[in-house]
Amino acid sequence: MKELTILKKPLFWLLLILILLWGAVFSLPDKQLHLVFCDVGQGDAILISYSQVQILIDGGPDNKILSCLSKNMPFWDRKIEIVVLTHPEEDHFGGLIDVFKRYNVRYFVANSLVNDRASFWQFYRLALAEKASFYSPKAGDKIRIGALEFLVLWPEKDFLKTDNFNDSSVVLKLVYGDFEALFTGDISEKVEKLLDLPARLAAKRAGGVEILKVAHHGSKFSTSEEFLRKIKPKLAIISVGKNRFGHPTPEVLERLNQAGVKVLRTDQEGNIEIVSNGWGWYNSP
Amino acid sequence: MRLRFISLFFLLFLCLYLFRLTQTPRYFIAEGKPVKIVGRVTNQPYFNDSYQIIKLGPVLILAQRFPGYFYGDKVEVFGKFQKEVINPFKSQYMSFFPTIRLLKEEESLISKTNFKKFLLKTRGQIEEKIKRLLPEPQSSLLLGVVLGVKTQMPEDFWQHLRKTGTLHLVVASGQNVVMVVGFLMNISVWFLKRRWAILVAVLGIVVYVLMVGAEAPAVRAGLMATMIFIGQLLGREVNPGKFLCLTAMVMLLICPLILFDIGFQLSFAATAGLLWLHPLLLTKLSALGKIPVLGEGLLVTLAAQLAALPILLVNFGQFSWLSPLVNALVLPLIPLLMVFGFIIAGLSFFSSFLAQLLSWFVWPFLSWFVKVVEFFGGLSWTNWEMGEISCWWAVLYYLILLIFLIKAGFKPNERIDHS
Repeated sequence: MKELTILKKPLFWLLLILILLWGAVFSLPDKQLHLVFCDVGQGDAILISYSQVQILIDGGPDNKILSCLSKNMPFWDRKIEIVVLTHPEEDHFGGLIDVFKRYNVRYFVANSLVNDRASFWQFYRLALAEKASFYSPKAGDKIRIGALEFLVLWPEKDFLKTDNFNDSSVVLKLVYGDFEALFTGDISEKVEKLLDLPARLAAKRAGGVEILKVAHHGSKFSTSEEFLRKIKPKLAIISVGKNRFGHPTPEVLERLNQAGVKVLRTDQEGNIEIVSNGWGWYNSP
Repeated sequence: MRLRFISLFFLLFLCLYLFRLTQTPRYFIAEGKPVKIVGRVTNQPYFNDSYQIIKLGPVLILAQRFPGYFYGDKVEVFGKFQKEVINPFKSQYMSFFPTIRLLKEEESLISKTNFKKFLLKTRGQIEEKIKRLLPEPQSSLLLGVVLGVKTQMPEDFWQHLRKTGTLHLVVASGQNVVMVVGFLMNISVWFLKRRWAILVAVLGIVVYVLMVGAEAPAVRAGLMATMIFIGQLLGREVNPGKFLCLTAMVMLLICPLILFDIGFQLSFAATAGLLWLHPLLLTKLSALGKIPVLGEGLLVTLAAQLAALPILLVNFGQFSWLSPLVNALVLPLIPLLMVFGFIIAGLSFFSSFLAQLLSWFVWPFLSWFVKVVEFFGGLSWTNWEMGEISCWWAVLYYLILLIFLIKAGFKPNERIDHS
């Protein structure tokens, strides 16, 4: 194999090391907050990264999440600081199986409900083997990591029910300076009403949130007019793919339209990235 | 005299082959109503994004991705089956999402199944370790090049490979076997006599071929390499062309149905192209071969593609005319990726830190490969889609190619590294 004689040349190794160093320098993260709503088909997967810290909320239904992670993490970073599972349904935890297999996860945040499917137990075993610290959040908690702060808005303690995974979803509000984003899992209108929004939202300032992750892929039983009035989002993201439920429903699109909220959908745009420096923000595409 | 001997030999082989073909077992499963069958998983299941394909001999089962099954598992399947006739000798049954139950059984340690199972488990461990070191699709690519692993490759990357005609690079084949042999020989001649070193190399081939799932291209390369070694031990002159034919005959007699395996057909056609077409192209298209860096790869790919073209067209109905260029752009990397890959796989069992360090060094090469394939795969005008053509075209094509070769006075090549 004459191609391999190149391995004996010092110049080859020198060049290789230089390329690697430059590659590493160019993939160094900037000091900005990046939210990436991954296009994983029908399901949720949101990567939040700031500096070298990554937080992943849900993993979509399958391993499509992996290419989104590869594109949005430096190649040498094999660690995800926090993985959040909003609720144990396949379109949210399915892809996390591969994430746990391939990445080191420090903290695993999920409520204590279990789903009785084979794939969930597979996931459960992996999550245990990963030795990540497990934490089951309840409304009122705060998760702080670096410059980022997450307020836990849901679930209330006596609201964990196995017959309704959706309404047990972990709801988080991300606060970074003046920038706020609300991640609603799959909650329905019922829980939207119960969320203790005014107190916790107004704590910082009266204006609304910048980004809303539309609950339950745009189901008509979520994202009520009243809720939109309360949180006043500037941009709504619908994480959705081909499905048989009619998501996102025309009702929700109409309500968002009425409220004057700009809408982006992962099935139309692919991965959607939002970048913020703590006061201003922009999105691409 | 010589010609008569060869034709007699060939005739004898044909009779034997036809006899073997009629002796292949036929399976019958009632269609349209639920049936229960018990069988053993005969190949490592293929995992896709959200499902897995399990093979029980002639039965293909599409199932949920979890729980995952493994080569050698004994399972009971309850569901409806559909028959699909591929040709008069080969038919297969399909079942979509049947109920599958894993049957527990006592393990006997010394059996062929368990040896293969052990090797496949080791491969599984290597896969898991490498996937922890590198992001996708780089990790899948490395695994494909080193071990021919194609399952769980990101769907869009797989499509790009297919569109650019580079899928053959993620198949464990001749080049891999040559690397394994070279590696083992180089190490073992230090402290062993040559004939014992050859024995070590042959054992290495067997282990490697079983480990990559014993698919046709790897078996072909392994058998050929073994035969060439035996030839060397006996002090005979080595003629790769002869060995290629002999390998094909042995494989066909042992497993007659493999004739209809596309991997088998492609592997033999491409190797034949390298042996007989490549030297011809070297003289006829010497201008092309002189292009710096790319020239050699272009001619190699062109030779293999010209020989395999009808098989690709008959089976897949499409062909990328830019494929020789894409191949030439990535081919020089393959030996490097293999060496790095083998070392990383070995290291990962001892020190994950060193494995991680080395995987960063291989990352730029993998990324170059990925970028090239993604760029050319993303172009829409590089592919000829022509629908599936009749296999008579293929026969005609090969006849013309043969006449052309005989006229040019066919000289086999001595190099067998590629393919």
